[in-house]
Amino acid sequence: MISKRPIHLLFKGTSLCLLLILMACKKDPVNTNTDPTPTPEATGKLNLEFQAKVDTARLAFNKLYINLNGDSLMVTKFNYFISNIVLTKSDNSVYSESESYHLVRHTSATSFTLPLSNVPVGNYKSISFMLGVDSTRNVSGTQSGDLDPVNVSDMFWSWNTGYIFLKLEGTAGNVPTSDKKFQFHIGGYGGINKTQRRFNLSFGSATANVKETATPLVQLNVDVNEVFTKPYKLDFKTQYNILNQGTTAKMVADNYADMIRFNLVQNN
Amino acid sequence: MKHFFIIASFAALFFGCKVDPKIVVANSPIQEVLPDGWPKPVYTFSNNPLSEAKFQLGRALFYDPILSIDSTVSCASCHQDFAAFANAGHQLSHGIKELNGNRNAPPLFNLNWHPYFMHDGGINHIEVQPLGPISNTVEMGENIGHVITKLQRSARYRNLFGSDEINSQNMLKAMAQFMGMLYSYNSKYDQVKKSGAQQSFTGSEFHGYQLFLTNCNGCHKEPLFSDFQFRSNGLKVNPALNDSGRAHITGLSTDKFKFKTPSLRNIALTAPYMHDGRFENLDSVLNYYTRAFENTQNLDAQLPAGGFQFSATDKKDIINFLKTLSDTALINNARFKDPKHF
Repeated sequence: MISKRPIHLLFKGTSLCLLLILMACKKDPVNTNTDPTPTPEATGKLNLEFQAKVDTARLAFNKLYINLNGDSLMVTKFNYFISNIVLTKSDNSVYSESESYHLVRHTSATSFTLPLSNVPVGNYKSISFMLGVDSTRNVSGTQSGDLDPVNVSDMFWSWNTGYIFLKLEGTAGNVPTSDKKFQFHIGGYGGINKTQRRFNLSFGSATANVKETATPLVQLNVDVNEVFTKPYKLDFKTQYNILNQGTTAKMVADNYADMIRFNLVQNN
Repeated sequence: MKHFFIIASFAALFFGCKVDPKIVVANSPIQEVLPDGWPKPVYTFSNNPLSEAKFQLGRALFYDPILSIDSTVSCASCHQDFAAFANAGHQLSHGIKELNGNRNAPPLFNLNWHPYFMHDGGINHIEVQPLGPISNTVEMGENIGHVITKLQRSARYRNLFGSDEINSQNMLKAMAQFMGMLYSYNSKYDQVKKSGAQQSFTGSEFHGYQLFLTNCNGCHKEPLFSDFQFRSNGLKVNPALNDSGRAHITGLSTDKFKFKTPSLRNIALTAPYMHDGRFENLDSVLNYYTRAFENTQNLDAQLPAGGFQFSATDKKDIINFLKTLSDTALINNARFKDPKHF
């Protein structure tokens, strides 16, 4: 992947030329932008809450559950990356957050709120984001913010470069070791091992109304049950240590691909 | 340039007399180098503008055991300047608390051309490479967050970072500058190639070079003397280490026991050999390659099943050629040495 980088520059040059040619030909470019005002937009905030659940109940750490496979388990850790957030307004215009990389750490309250700022004022009908970190940021060397290994050292593989996109740990009765621990460290950023999954969540008939003076809350449910069950039923007897990219990690990724769902909007 | 030659010839005189080799050879400037006929490097410092200050910061960090949990191990502990930044005489890397790693520390030079790092290629970028050994429990056993805290507390590093914030980005980029400046392109081989007069090789070296071109260059490809591919050369798996090589990274059985082709530059300086340091010297290496290969899983197709047909003289000549790849300009460059000693 990195070896392609020098070609990059060449591409840049070529596409710049193409762009110039195109622009020269296009006398009166049609403005596809739905918002033609060049003046700086008024912005506000939006709170994005991730609420960890087990089916419909709130997830609590160190509490015994029976998952949909009938396995008894306790969760001790649940973290994942949310990146590349895009919000869509009722008029279909979009806002893409810049430097959009966030580590969601469910702590004892198991609810985690991401405060999004600089969101253009307007009524939003849906949200889209990636669970994981895009491949570019996995192959581009040192990073900052929520991608700085200083801040997320437990979510970064230093021996097999890349971020751990989702970490779920706990104990389960069927794990054959004496400590009963299971560890799912799911990552793999490229090619056949890709484990990022994109979510497109509509707010239904509701809209999140961002104003300069009002911050709406968008609440999402994150169902841990999904990690174990569909389409691949994970068997704790054999699948309790998933610590690298590969086939098993991809199965878990397919399971968590519908783990996050829209719950409600609260306009304040 | 003139100065360089004068200093270099003085240095040559000194070395002839076996004086302490820690003598200034040349004050190589901190800038990118692209020797004639070399491919474009992978890492070009495009987001990491080279500067003397950053290079010196990277150099200080490279030699400082502050990177390890108990301040006993620095990068230079296993990457020694006089061994072309490999670990002389150590089969396996030797970390904190007398712990051993499971691989031989590779030499460090021409790293800007490496598409990935480590014998298994697990690390994909020169800037994040130091995070591997820093966090490895049998190497430095540290945590990057704790390293940054220690650096922030240090007056020396507050001074070396200057106006830059002491954070992981600035630390790792500075280390990439030091590592990236470890160029090696001034061996006798390079001089001979540059002059175009191959007869300045001795007869034995020249014959060794011919044999190299026919038999070795397929994988240890000129001018970097590696194709950076992952290959199995048929070594018996050491049951104590049970190292699956590239498969440890990819999980693919087709990658089992494959390791990144090492560069042969400076090879005479970097004993012992192979990913687990099992061969003590080049004679053992050449003897290995002239025996029939065991039909191990994923054995590289380029290797002749019956082994290479080298006579005793051939082997000697190949080794003599390999010695022409040693680069004293790399190992004696004062700029690459422990800053505390200068």
